[in-house]
Amino acid sequence: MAAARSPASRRILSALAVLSPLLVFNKFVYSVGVVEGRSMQPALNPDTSGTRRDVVLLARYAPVISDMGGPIAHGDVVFLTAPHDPSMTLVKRVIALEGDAVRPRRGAGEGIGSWVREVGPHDGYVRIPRGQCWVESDEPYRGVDSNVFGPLPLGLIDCKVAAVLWPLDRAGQVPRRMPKPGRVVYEGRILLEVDEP
Amino acid sequence: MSLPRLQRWKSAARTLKLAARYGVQGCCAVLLFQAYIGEASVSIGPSMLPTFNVAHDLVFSEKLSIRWRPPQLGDVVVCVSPRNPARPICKRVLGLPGDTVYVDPTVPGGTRAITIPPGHVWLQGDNYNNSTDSRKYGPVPIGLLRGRVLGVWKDWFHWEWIKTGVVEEKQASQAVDVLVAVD
Repeated sequence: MAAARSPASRRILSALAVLSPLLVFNKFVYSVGVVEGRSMQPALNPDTSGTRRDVVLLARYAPVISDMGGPIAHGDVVFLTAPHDPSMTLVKRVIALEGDAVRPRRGAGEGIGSWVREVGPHDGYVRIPRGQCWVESDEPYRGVDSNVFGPLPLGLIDCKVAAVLWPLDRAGQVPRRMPKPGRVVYEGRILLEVDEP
Repeated sequence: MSLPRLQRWKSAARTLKLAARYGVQGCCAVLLFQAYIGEASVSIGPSMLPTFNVAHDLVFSEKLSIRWRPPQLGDVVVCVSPRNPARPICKRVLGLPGDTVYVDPTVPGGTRAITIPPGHVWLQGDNYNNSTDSRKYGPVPIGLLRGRVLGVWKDWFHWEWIKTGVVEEKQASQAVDVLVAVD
């Protein structure tokens, strides 16, 4: 059988044999991406002229395993599909997960998610429903984030930024940055303290 | 070890290696096919009655066209649940961006109208009485849609294509005419 094949078709077959595990790795394990835009400054793309772009390592298994209660955690930087435009990819930081409550940034909420703040008690906090999250830009007021469209389904998250690859002087872990204390209430903990007189 | 025995071991090892290689490649091919081209899955739940049965229906969906052709009114789509990223759901598109829908006029307080924001669709199960859908969690981002349902394999020798699109008003009025005639 194999001997009957022409050398060209054999070469194509063997290339496919190498390619398919590579494609699977690229789709389900790790891939490489480029960060566009300045909304994650100074953690990513800190160059103010905006000409240099960071190359990052993307962990694609993260959203998959998070179904088992795993690794999308507070403070992770993620690539996600924009809720208002499925062809657009956003890079944002996960600020809050289900069960948390977030106080939106001042001046936010005139956008798509403005209905969110009408739900629940009127205490200025937005509750994150089951299976959803709150994502924000590091740089306030640059780009659209959950302050505009409210909590987003976790299913929109495509992958997690595992590390910076390029430029080399900043290669390594993505710097962590969390919002000011008091803006996020983790699973009702701070809120309980506030509620009790 | 005697020479024939050694040869037998060698050939067994070669067979094993070949099996492992084809196994890995086969799994990779299946995974890629499922992710990009299409898949068959068993639908469970009453929300799409009578289009799909409660169980044992094999639903065939393709994942290619959703990338370039936006969802159309009446399409049955496979979608990641907005409340649980691990759960795929299957619903019908009943509203497109910019449309205004009444949430559910049959329940008190359900008559409020929602205008579907850009990039979102309104999804509902065909079984309006028993379906958790956009009436509960609001418009769903198109980014959560994973594929379009082509057809259902209900039974041996029983294949049904999914009818998409909406019934034209003309047909509906004809139906009314027929009813009037019977009366």
